[in-house]
Amino acid sequence: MHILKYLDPTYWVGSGTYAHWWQYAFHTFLFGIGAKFMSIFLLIFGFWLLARRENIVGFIISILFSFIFAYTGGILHIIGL
Amino acid sequence: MAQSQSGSGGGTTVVTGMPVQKKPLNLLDAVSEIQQMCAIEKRMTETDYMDKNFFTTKQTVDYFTVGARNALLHFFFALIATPIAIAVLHNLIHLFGDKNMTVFDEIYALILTFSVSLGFGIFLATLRECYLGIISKAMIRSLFSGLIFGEIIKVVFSGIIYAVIYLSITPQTVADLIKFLNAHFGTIMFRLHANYVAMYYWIMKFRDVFPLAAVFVLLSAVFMVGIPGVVIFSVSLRQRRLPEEL
Repeated sequence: MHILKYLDPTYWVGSGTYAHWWQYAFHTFLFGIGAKFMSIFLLIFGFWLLARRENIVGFIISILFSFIFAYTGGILHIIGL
Repeated sequence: MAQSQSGSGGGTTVVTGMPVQKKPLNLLDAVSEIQQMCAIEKRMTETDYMDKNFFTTKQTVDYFTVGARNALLHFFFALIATPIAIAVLHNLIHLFGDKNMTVFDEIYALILTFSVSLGFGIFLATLRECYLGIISKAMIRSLFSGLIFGEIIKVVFSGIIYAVIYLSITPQTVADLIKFLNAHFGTIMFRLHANYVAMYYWIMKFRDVFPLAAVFVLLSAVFMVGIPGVVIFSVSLRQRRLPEEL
């Protein structure tokens, strides 16, 4: 399937009208309460790794994913997906 | 520690001594080396202390480099993350894709931006237990000198970069950019139902984010150096007072 088909408004991830299961999955994890929960969990988990386990690599990876969950929804809205 | 085989008996003689000082490749290496040295120096008495020349000039430079490199790695993160967080405060980017922003979302965006600085600051503050002994102190000072140098570079360069972006975003350049997008990516823009007028105003509003972002990069640098700096300074003050109290 051509990539441009997914850019069609009927396939928009944030539109609330979905054709595929993965669009529901994306919406759950990247928008609203799902993204908020994952982002906050990863931020707290990152600081726990750093303070209790002195795992600096784990801390950086957790913060990175926390960023992804926090901002991806907003960026998808901006580019119209 | 070194091992040697004795000639006739065939037994192994183990010669224990000072651990070989390796060049620290990253912050974790540097911190673990400091912790090892601290463990050795804790067992030493006032008369049986290590000579300050044990920590050579080359090692001073190595620790300085690790500190500076660590600050500069954070520079790339801060350069991108800070304007995005300020854009959330200006309601230009919706955190969690939610258009109804709350005060919690705005505070969370700031916490997320400062999280790396705070994390590194807290991590380096664990060195407070190691601020004793001549060599451990010299190692920590070298690491912090590098960190402060890197942070100054970070603040200055990010200020310059933000200023250049701020000054280069003018109505004319934004209009030229939109013309370019329409000319070369017209099909995709049509598919995305791109609103060029909204895009123009969004970019022009985003311009105002950069002056505040420069201030926040400065704040993150203060957190990164300030947290461990204050903690270690308070430990050194306590160490100075202890002999007077005794």
